[in-house]
Amino acid sequence: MKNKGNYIKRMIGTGSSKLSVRAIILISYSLTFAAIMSLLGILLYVQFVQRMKAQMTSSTSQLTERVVSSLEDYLTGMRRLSDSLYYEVIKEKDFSSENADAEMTVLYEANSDNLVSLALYSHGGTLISAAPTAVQKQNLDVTRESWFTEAVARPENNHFSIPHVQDIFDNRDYQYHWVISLSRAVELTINGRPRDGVLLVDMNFSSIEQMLNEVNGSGSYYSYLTDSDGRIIYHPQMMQIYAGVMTEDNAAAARLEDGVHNMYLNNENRVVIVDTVSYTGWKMISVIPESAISIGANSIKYYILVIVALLTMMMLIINRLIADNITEPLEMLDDSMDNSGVIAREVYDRGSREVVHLARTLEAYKESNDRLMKDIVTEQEEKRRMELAALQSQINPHFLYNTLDSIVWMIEGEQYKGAVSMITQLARVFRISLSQGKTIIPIGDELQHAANYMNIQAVRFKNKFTVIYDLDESLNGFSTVKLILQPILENAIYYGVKDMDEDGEIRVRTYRDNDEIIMSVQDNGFGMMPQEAAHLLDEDRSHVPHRGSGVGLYNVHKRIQLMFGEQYGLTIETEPDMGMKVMVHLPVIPYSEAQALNGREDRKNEVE
Amino acid sequence: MKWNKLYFPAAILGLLALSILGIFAYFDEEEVVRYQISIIVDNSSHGKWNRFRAGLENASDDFDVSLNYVMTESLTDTEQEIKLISNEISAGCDAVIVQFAEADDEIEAISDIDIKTTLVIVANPVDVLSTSSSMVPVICPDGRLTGAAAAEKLLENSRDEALRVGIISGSLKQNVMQERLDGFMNVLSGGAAEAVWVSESGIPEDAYKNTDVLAALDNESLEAAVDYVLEHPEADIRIYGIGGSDKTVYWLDHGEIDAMVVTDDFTMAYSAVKTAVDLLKYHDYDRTEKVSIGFAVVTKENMYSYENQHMLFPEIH
Repeated sequence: MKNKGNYIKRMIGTGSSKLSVRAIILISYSLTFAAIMSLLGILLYVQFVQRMKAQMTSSTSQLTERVVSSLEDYLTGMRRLSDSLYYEVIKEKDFSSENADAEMTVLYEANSDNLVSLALYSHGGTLISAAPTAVQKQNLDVTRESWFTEAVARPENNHFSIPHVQDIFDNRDYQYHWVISLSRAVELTINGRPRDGVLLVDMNFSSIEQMLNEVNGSGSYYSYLTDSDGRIIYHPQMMQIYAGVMTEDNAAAARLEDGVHNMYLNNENRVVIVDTVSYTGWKMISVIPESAISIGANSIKYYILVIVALLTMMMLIINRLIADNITEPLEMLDDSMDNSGVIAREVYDRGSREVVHLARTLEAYKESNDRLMKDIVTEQEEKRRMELAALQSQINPHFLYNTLDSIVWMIEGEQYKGAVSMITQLARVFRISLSQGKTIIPIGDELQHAANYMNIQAVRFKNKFTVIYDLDESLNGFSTVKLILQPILENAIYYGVKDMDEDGEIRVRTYRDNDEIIMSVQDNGFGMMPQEAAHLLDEDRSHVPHRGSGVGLYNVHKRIQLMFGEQYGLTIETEPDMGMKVMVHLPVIPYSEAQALNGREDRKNEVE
Repeated sequence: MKWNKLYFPAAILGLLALSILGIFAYFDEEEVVRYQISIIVDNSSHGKWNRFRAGLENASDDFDVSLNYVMTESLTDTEQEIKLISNEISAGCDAVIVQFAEADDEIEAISDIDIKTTLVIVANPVDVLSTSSSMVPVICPDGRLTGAAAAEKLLENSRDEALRVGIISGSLKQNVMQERLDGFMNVLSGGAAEAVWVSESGIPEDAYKNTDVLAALDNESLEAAVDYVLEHPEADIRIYGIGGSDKTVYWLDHGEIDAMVVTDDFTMAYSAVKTAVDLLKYHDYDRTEKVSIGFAVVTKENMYSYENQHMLFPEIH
């Protein structure tokens, strides 16, 4: 099962599908339709069979009721004949001196189709009258016959026997008749005295047989008749049942109440309709075998099969056309890209709304991608330029010259300790500048670098200014872009405090402001107009008053933004004669986490 | 691509084929094959075949076949019967139910018969030797058992009385008659009664002088025995036998026949038609199978019992 599921998944599902969109649409639509049609076909067939079964049951029930009614009429007629013979003939005669042969013969002749014989017996079994005239068998003892004993036992009733061969009269023509005996106890007058007797009406069984044969002609069902004990009176296959070549559940069926029942016989379900014949208690049982229903349903089965097959075929073709219509623009769109994902100059943009939208999106994506690629190239170039500028600022020849000149001057003045200290500071400046080629360094290192630089400048400028550090040591382990304080400090020295009459003061401060780390460099120099200061961080720096002033600031600002994003960088607060405060805004990134940035930068540099 | 070029046309063709098959099935269903089956038995209009005919008629209704009774008076030899069979085949019948009335246990002259025609043998068990590898089904009562049943009833009623029994065996050319005689004689030899004469047909004129019992082993012999006894009312001759015609039933009822073995000819005929239809439809019927047909020993006293009257008077349908 799982394998099958995987197969289907492989064929039409996720991942790198082997089938085209067209095939997937066609297969899934066609299979769905075929499944729906099959289901509908089955439902239709089941519905048809159920309706047919209900219809057959209903019509058979009605027919059974009609047959029972006819049978009741027939049996009532026979009972009336018996009543008529008893009350109008037998009661009127004294059989010591007369007989009823003539009247019996008249009645017999009038009903000869339905009758085999009429006979009147005394209580002792002596034949008194009979019609038609016949010779009774010798040594016959009718008192042992069931029809006689039942009549005597229950004199108030008429008694109907089950079919049997009449064995009263001698049949010299070898003709034997199947009869149903209607017997009743009668009161005879002999010598003026009442005596018991039995009147026997032998009904011709073939009359009932013909009546029931007529309802058994259709073939889709059959009806049979039993007495109240389930003994078969009539069955269209009575001989087969007696011969044992067929079975019938007559005993069980006769025990059922009137109505429709389901029974199971010989591995087959059967609908059984039971109706009781009044007075006799006989049961008329009609049987509809399931096979009769299925034979009737066979034609509709094939009909439904043909309809389902043709409709499925039609839908398959229609699905194919629809699939073609849907997938052709997609395939053309697919052709607009080669296997490596390169989009052609012209993207196919016809077809359905979705496909057109997809094509236009693809085109827009292509343009956006091109633009993005250009931006990346530009950004990389700028970053490279900035790095170069940072390095260049580091090896400012003036700074180096002046520093070395100061060192020479110290040596000549035999200030060896000062010279050694100066050289040491210079060496540290360069060491941190290199930082093993890393762009990101800890804030602590950057502050150390700034301190070294300021120590050198303090010697050079003969302590014209003082540097005050207000540092939050806990921030030393966080990250910063290297060499960003030196240009700011240089700016503060050269354009802030260098030319001041009074002692200049430069304040370096680090602190945390919510989700930012701020490093600020504030001087008490000349400051400038805020409008002018706003241009210090522009790329176009034509509005900056002092030539060279602010170049470093712009570079620092840009480098921070390139590395950490547009929301970071420098901000400047200044007023004329009020000094200037440059604040460096950095993200709060522990240095350990920022190592990855260094790695990425390194790789990028290697690639470049 | 494979789908477009292979599966799609295959699916369309498959559905088209299914539709065509469905249409054929829809119309084919109305066609009902009605087989023609011919019946060849000795003296076909005789009353002894009444129960047999009832079985044929019921089976023809149940299996929806047409029956063609070949009118015969007396079948004297096998060649004549084979000619009759050939005629029926030429006339287009699908199967023949035949009684080889004058054949012993084997016949060879079957090569003239189209072996494709289904043949079912009834009443007289005969093995047909044909060029075909298949055997012909034989459906008939066991001759030895029926003969023995008649003798057992005779001995039962004689109560160790040393009765002289004259036997009318019927034609001993018939295998079934040989078997009946064997069965009868085997049982008789174990009792006090004694067979004083055996005749294939006819009764010696003066048989009444030395015969207490006439044992007739086929229906015609039984009727002849009745006629003989009626012609000699002064003789006290009892009759036992095997039969079942209207006449024999009447004289059983009348008391002239003391006991009669009645074979279940209804079932024999019904089974013969069913076997023929099975062979025609399915071709895989086990032709070596011999269907055994039952019988009943009927007397005046029990002939109107619930079971026996249905066997003796099958004309109800």
